Amino acid sequence: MKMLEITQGQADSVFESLSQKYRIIAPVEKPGEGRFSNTSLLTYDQAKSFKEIDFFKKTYFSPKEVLFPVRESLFEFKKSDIHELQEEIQPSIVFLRACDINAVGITDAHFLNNEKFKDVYYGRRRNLVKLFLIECKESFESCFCVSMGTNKSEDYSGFMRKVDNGYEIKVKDEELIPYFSQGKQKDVEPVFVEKDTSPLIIPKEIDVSLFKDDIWKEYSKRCSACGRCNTSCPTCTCFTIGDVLSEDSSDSGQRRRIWSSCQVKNFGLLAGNHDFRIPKGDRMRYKVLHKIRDFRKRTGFNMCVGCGRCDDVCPDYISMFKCIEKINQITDKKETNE
Amino acid sequence: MYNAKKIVKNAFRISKVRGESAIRLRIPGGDLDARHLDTIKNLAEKFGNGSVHLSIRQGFEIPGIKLSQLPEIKKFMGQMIYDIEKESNVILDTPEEGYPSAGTRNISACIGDRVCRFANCDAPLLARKIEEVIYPNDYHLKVAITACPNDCIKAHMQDIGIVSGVVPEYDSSRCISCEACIDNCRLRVSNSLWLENHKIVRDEEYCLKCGECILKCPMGAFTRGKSLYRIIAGGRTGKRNPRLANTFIEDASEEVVLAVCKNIYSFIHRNINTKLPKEHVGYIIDRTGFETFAEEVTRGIVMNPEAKVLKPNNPGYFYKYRDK
Repeated sequence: MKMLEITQGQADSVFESLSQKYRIIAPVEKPGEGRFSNTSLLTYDQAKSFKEIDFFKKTYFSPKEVLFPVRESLFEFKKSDIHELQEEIQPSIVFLRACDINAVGITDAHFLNNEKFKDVYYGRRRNLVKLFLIECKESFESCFCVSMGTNKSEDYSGFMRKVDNGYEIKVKDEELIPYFSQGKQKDVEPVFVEKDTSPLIIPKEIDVSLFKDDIWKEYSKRCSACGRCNTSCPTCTCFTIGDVLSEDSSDSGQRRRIWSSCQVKNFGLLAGNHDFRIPKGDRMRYKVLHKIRDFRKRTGFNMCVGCGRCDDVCPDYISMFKCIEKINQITDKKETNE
Repeated sequence: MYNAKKIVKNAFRISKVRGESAIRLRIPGGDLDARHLDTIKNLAEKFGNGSVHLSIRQGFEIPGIKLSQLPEIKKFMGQMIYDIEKESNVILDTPEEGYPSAGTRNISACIGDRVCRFANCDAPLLARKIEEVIYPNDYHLKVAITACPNDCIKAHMQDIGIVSGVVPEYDSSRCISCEACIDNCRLRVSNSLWLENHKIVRDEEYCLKCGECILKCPMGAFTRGKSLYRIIAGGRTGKRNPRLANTFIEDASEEVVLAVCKNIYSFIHRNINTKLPKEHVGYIIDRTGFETFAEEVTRGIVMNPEAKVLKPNNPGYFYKYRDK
């Protein structure tokens, strides 16, 4: 372990030497790339310097695409011949908050500990990713990580804090320590958020009778099924499979897995044009209960980390937080009746 | 006693009530610093009948003022009209004498990307840039700017309308084929998108550059490319053949928009029927023919590479819908 303080100048040379080996993926602001005219997009991308990293704002999209690309080629085919793609994957260092580190734990559970099934595509990327913690001074408005128990993490290779004239750093990973040879020794410990803006109780037991409750009807009216809640979520990992043909041939191409979203049309579409979960309220129920009930039944922990991105990005102002509050009210009532 | 022509040129109305008038205030782009509302209120209460009329061009009209008080009124509002015009870099030399001209009407604009999610530009700001180029010309000209093809400001009813658009840029590596863009374009726009081999294809011939595919995409696979403008001309109300403006230049840059707005005055100057008290641009175009209009108004302008000057009687605003 190494703890130190470095100047901006020293940080620049650290960045340069790290970049020889690693891609540095971090929150960066991209001017003009926002959805609306004259707006920027704060998102995860390859940073060109530590200076470029925004340590203080929450990103629109999560860092999950480093481990789980939007369109990942699995293998190539030509007629009946198939061969696996040997893609050269560059090691990465990802800068992320405690909630998102906990989210990586959840995607690990999806892909690596899924009833003894190990996903090789996720696994090969996961092995090449190191996590660098960035801290939150206080909870953002829509966050509820303390309530979800995802406000802290010790599962990081390093920690970096932006200070006035440089950075305070704690490096735990032996492989990374040699990169931090310059600087002043200083005790550095990350501070974690201890209080949510609005605390939330996560219901312990959710009875299946909730599936038929009227609370979901509201979402059928309000939700426009855009899928932003899924695409911005750090733990949503649903995907579909598509054969993308080569430009010049109809019998060769690549099989890819492509992100999917349980909120958009056709997610529940089956052969014969049977679609279950047509009402948007049903889709909301499916998503919310997957996050705080079904997944927990299997793994023992919740699938939501309380990062609040789904609330931040929803064009219809639908809130996961409020929905869980409503579920609480119903389960509380049930308990007092019994 | 009073010189009616001079009063009108000075941006005051001749009222049906003998001896009365109304003040007409220019508010380029309909965008006003709220502090001026105090002066407007005082004008209405001190000199007018206590009411303010909001005009369709986004100006203020203050009715019930006395022609006899005009010098006093102009002095009272001088600083305000100077400040408002200065926001557009138009410097009024003698603001205490009121506006130097009134023929070129207030430039109206929708609220643009200051509020609206559909907007492709800051329409009030563009209105101010155009104000800088064309005011204080006195030829009768109506200009409006809409930040997207929904045209909430009714740019299609103006002599010159500016319709802001954006070129959508597509990154297939971020696309999850949810088809939100396709469905929206089919239902609300021109059906110019479809899915082929897990990728979105866009037909440029049909695309209106409304930018809604960018708004709909949950992945940011569509982003904002170049801002381009559709310049439409010849829209008018009035007694003779009211009609919508027709597309004149497609995909113009902001520089071209400003240059065209400037050039249109020399076209009017050369071709206006001087026997009439005033003549609307639409009637002048009817008389000279569209070719002459197009040639004279684009004269000396270096077009951006995307810009296309269209022929007359093109489908204009009656955009094509890809019928597939």
